[in-house]
Amino acid sequence: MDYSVQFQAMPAGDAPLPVNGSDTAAPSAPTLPPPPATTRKARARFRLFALRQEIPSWIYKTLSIATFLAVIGAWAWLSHQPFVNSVFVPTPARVWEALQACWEDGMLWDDVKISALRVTAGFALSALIAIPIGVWLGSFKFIEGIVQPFTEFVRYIPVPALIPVLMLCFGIGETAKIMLIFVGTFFQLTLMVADEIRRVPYELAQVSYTLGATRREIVWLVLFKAALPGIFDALRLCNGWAWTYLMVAELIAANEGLGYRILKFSRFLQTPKIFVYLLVLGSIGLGLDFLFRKLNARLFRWADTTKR
Amino acid sequence: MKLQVNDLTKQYRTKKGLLEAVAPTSFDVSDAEFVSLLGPSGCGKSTTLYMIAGLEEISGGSIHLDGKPVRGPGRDRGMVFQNYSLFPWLSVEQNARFGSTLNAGLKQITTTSEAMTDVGRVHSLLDLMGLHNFYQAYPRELSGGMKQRVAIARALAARPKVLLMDEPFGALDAQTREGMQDLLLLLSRHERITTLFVTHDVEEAIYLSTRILVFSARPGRIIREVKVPFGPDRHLDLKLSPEFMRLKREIVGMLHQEQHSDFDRNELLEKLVSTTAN
Repeated sequence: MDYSVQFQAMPAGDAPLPVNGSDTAAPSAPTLPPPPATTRKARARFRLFALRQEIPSWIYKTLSIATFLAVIGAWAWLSHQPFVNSVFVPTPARVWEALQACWEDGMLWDDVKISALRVTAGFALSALIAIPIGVWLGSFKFIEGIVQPFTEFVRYIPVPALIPVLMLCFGIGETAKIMLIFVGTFFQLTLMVADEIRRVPYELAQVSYTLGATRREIVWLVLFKAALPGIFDALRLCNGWAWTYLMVAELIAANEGLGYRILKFSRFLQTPKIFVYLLVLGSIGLGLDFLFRKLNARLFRWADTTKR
Repeated sequence: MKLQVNDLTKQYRTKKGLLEAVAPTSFDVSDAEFVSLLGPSGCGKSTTLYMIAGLEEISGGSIHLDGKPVRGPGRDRGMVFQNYSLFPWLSVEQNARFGSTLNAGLKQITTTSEAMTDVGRVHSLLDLMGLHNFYQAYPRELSGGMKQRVAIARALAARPKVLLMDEPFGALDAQTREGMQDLLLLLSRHERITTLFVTHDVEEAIYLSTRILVFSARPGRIIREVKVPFGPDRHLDLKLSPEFMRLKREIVGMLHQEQHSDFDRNELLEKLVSTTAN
């Protein structure tokens, strides 16, 4: 069989994919000759759907905004259809009016403040304890043996099922709500931090040993430092979960807060206001996520972001 | 006498029983010597190096450095790995100075003038490595060869008694590797570094070493010791000289002799050809 014929039958003119390897940081690659005009379209499409490769940022942003506009458009269209009950799907205009109403009487802002306080307190407490424990857990098998199986066990207990226990321990005040968010995120975060520590190449620990580092120095000056971008990313994900547990937390004898208010609105079928609060929750999440990502990129410039 | 290795062995416990990775091995490395451990992959030469570094537990025998037994890793035995293993969050300069920022390093630096000479030493090492424009660069911005130069500077900055290198140029392309070899020759000539170097590249071993210990395949043991007859002043031309070629042929011959194959490759090849034809 003649193999050269087979090779020629393959599509010609494919540019080699850029490789994100550390060893290929050549000073400058020779420029390729311009592609023939007939294949340019095909090549453009190939580039936009290249596996795990970057696409131009303006295209990315346009696509993201287009999705939002499409969903709002679909919602607007649907809400004006005769077969849709306007009690369940309010029009965008009514939601906008409801937003103005909620904002003007200060209720929305108060709810945002108290909910953010609960989430932040629970989340910060969880991060404060979970990070050191996770670092030790990922560094020492001995501690892993003590902590990991039990943590996995607690992690699978649904958080709402713990409400009675939390109410018995912490009453029905703010503490119980904060503790619920803490319990919801703490065990997950501990395991995620430990995983990030385990992901640090062992060679970094070995080379530190040969430079005279003690075990404590390796844990905090090498493993922890190397895992920081990953830990920061775990915090971002966990913050998202903290906001979802807010709904559960505000089931406990609350009389203000975003979650509580949604439950109350639903009791009175005030769907436009429910939509307002959903939009606010989504926006807070999107904003925080964006903030975490920006901060990560700024704090950890050294990290190879193409590998995340 | 600097480094003494006596009847060093390594065994791994597997499900089938004990697996001997390194058979009782003995050798010495003197001051300012450059000794290579040469052998096929999986022959236990790296394991031997890791045991000397204190990163791998020894199953038997002993290791002494300047008469003191080696227990666990330490600053007196610097190590350079194949995969550079730089700290990605530290700049080139911070990487090279990492050892001095540790407690063990700080203990050795007590006065300001000592701190100044320490910084000066790191800088001159980096400059010698051709990294004077990259003090503030992060490892991800460097090429493979540059990363390995930082790793060597970092190991030497701690003033180790012996430098252990585990196939340090294995991941580099041929041109970069030759440049690195010359740099290493220059360093060991001027700094009088005692080096133990693991490689599977015969040419590299001859070009760099004063002495070569040839290892056999598993269980690893030294089958031959070769004194390299060339002086400290070596240049790339040496690799093309008849004496060099002769030595290379001799060592390659030793390694081949060890690879006794217990199957007939021609027969298997014929079988492959016949199945392709069908």
